[in-house]
Amino acid sequence: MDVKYILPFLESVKSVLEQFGLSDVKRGEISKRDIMHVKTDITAVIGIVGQIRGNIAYSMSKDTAQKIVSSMMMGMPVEELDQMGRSAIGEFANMVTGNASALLENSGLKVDITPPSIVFGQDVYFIISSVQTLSIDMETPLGKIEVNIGLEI
Amino acid sequence: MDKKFYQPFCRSTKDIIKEMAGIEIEGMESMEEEEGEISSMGVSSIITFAGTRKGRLLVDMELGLALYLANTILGEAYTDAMDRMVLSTVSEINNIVSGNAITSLNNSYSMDLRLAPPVVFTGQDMVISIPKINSLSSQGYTEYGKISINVAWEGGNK
Repeated sequence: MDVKYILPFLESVKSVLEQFGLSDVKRGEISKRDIMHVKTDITAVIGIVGQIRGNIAYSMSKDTAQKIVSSMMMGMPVEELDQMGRSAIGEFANMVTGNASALLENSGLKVDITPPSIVFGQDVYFIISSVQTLSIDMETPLGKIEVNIGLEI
Repeated sequence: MDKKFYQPFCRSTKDIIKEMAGIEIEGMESMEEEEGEISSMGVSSIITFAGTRKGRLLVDMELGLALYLANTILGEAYTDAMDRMVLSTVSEINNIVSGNAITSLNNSYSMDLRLAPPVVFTGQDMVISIPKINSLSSQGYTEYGKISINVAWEGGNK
């Protein structure tokens, strides 16, 4: 998988979090996977169609999700991920992936994103791509967000 | 959104499973409005699509049925849901079901829909939530376990 397809997603995690006033987002470990074993609580999956096809899954702990939702709502305390909170996590995945698709479009690849789905549950095994999945840890001040990129290219 | 945009998925699920594994799905005739979250029965697969509208198909089944399908289609005796081949079978079935339904929608209503690759997952006590989209579900039964599908279209409640 060419790095030019990967970077837009990582850049977008960073720039979307910056919009919520969070700087200091660093790229952590990168690994290649066949089956994705998610040990955190929440995974938001979003699809990509167009000149490239694939799925992007963002996994994070409940704690990180609550903090993201809280920062999206101007620091309003979030004690529980209710329907509104879940919807906000979906929106976060939408913003990151939408931003990345705009960056891809700038480099000449026309893509469209599909509605996000959110899966709750610990110890979940995922396959998001029949080709390969790259998993990149993004270390943020709110905790780790694992960005799993499965593009069929 | 009109029932005609949901119904092709029920028909397609029944047809494809019968064709590929030779089993009949009882039920799965009508679709009910789904409220909020969906608890997975064991193995779930999601395919999303985009065109003039965006939507999603969730196929959810009990482990017994997933294993039966993998064993029948691939001719091996799998016993573990985490086996890559079992998960791949379920995602491939979803791919064919969605492809089939999407083709019929594209032909009838020029929706220009394209599929994203399938996502498949399994685990304990999984709950699936699709924010901001109203969806319809349909339940079916086979002698090897239950299966249900859930179809959602963005703006479907308008």
